[in-house]
Amino acid sequence: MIDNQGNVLEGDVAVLTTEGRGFTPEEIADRALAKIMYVSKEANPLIRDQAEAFKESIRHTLVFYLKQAVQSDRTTLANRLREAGHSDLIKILEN
Amino acid sequence: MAISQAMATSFKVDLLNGIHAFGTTVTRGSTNADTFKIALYTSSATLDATTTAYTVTNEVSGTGYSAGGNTLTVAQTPTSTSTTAWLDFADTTWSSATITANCALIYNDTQSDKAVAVLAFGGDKTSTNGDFTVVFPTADSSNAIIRIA
Repeated sequence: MIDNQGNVLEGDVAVLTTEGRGFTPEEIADRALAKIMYVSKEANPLIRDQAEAFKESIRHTLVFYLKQAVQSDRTTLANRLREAGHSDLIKILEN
Repeated sequence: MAISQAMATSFKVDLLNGIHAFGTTVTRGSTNADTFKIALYTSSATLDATTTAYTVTNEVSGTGYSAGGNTLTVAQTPTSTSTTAWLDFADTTWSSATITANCALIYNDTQSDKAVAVLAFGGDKTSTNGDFTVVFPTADSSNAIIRIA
């Protein structure tokens, strides 16, 4: 018997939520990393370790630049608030 | 000469691209890709393989959520790896939202809201004055959200 089977498959999604805040650069970096590279648990240990180390270095880079983006956006927001006459609200944006 | 009975991988990709029509097909106004959306539902919803289209019944309501849900961005247009055709959507977020959802429906906003896939979250997920993000699986032939193997 010749089997010519085909399957339509559906992947599993994950849901991430926050309360009273948005996601942190670290949390978003982890999500981005999962999209950028996947290291198989069955990979050769030597290659896997190298891949994991590379992944960690990418994570640091992502977090750094995501924080830069947040800071830069706050500068933009601060200027918008100042232009709208709400300079007092700028302090809220400061960490 | 080697002969292997198989369903052509290119055919699987073509199916995802709407190339073949074995039955009566729709009349398309353009060659643009359809718009796909994702709507959230409460645990009271009845959604499964028999669902045929988007419905407002038991759809989530709350701050930061509008009926119909979010428009999805196709992060990877239909492609194939080995003999599996697949595609990927970009993660989607409802910002500053106060909502609770138990599942979601991906549907074709362009083609009369026809259903594509039901996504069960495995329980209630809640955001309170925060972000509610649906994270799509790894974009490859083993995990992607929609695959034809």
